Amino acid sequence: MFKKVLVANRGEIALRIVRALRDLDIASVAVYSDVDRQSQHVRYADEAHFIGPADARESYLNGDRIISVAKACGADAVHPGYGFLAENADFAEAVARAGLTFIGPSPESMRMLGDKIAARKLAMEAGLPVVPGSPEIGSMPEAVALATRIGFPVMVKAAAGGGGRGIRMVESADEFEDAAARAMQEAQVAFGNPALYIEKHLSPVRHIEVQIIADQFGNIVPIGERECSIQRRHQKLIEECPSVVVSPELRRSLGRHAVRLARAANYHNVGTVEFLLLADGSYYFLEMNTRLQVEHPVTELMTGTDLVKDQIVVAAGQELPYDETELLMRGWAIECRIVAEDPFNNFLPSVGRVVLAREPAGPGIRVESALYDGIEVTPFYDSLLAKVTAWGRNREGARQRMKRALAEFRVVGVATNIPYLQQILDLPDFIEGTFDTGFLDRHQVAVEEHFASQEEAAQIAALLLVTGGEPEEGHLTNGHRNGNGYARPANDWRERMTGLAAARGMGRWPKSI
Amino acid sequence: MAQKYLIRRGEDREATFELRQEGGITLVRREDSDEWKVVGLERVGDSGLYLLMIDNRPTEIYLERRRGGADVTIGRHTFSYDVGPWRPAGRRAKAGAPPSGLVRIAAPMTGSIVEVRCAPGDVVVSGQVLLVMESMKMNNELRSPADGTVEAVPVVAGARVKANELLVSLRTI
Repeated sequence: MFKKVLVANRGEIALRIVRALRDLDIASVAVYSDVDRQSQHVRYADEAHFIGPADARESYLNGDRIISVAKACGADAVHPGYGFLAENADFAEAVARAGLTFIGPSPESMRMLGDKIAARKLAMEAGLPVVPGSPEIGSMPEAVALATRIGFPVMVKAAAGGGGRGIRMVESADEFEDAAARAMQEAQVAFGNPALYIEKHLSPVRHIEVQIIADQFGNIVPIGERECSIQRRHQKLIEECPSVVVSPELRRSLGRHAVRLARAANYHNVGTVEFLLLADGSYYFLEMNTRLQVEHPVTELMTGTDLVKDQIVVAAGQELPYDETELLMRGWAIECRIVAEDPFNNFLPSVGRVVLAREPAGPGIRVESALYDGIEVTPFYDSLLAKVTAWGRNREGARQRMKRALAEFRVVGVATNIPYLQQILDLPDFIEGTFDTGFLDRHQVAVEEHFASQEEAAQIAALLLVTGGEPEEGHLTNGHRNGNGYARPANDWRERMTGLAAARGMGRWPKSI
Repeated sequence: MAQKYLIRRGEDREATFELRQEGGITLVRREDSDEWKVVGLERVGDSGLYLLMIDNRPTEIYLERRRGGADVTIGRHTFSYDVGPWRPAGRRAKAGAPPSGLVRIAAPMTGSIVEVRCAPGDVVVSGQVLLVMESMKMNNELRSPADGTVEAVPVVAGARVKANELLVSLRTI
């Protein structure tokens, strides 16, 4: 097993990995940019190293710098998390060349599956149903003819695409050339690879994905599906495990196909095979993500696995500790992504200082977050602030708990999408589980109710604060008491008697001090 | 004995509240309502988080005291209120009227000037956009607070300005 692992990421996922490493008794090494000096992933790690300025290209995407830090501090492996370098086969190769282990699949598997055109070919050879489409498009006239044969509308996609970039829907032949040219340019800028391919635009569809994990002995286990149809502009917002429309037979069939593809790619570590599911129950392979997914907690809550821990274990060359029959599938899990975007202002990214952050807790709630009072949300990285996952004995139980958790979440200082998530959770079609990937296009943000009562409460609070005898700035006293005020207990007797300041209930951390 | 207060938000949104103490209990009534509500406000720990009680119903609310009022965050809304003793409408209108003479229009925050839409000598009306400023990747229009004549515009488009830096001086009528 590894002795020390470097976490090449930031934010909530870096913290998630640091926690898994602590559970495994492996020393963790955090890396941080200029603006992340005080981050939780830094504070909770055993060791932390500065790697550069805020601009990710010079810090979290700077593979050479990260590898040299890993070597200098004596780490034996690098965990890339997701985003940044997670799907960069060259980085994985460089890590191996430096004598370290990359916690993820082999660079060969990453290349094969990361190129969407190659992945489609591999999936077809492995016997998976694939969305009707094309190989790499050559000349424009040829591509238009191909798109016409497939039938409009079609999707034009970047071979190197991901995260919703380099994708365009084209409705008709005369729009094609223009859209393809723009997608090509976008792909060139974003991924350095202009190659495009065409897929038929299927609608309505659900986005269903299968989690797999594989060790280096050829054991490949499918760990259930995730329902990820609630998306806004190809960005997932709410994910569930399981899916209301996946029967045990369909689950087995999807799982078998996912395993077949993984085997064809000689895959090890965690991965996700994405499918489009049609209303008639037929499905098509979309792509495979060769990394941990943002939405992995729903699978973990449902199956009792710890995917981050397990991927470290298999990367260290150990055998998978379970097979498919040993997995429990219990209840229902729903995840909501909390992002710093203002749903009432066209989802504009919101930056600034979070003056107050209070995360929800309570039965069935798990929070992945790197928020703290005073954190600066900067424009340098993506807008994901936190993920809330709710577990319940059934879907409705999970939904109710999620509603409670979102209502308890306090983020003051930056706008978040929490009010929008609350609206979605209350939509009748969501409650019934009747939706497809176009759901959020049909359900835009609604004007908020309760404005008048909220404003009156705010007015009363302002009045009480101002008239409560509090000075305009500086030290605040308690204002208007609620009629049953009590004196604060004097706490300084302890200090007088023992010479020790009042006890603080802090865990002893890090362990070495 | 009830005290009357005026709570203002922006130019034209205002409400009048009455406040009285009775045996250690605080009661509040909106002027247009018959209903007195038992209220209480306590700070939670040392943060800006407060517990507001209205008729025994708890609400978490985030408050920041500032000169003449408070900024209040409830749910997704942040309201900026001026709170002061109530005065009869006639006197208030007078007190609230823009001052005549030279008015200084300063940058509300650090940013850069996107567009200047006025020049010295221009006659402008209240509410007219004088310039557009960009801050945190957002464009903000700065409007004239009153009718008047532009005296000076010491900035040009593209200039970086600090918070409170003079942008336009205006001679009001």
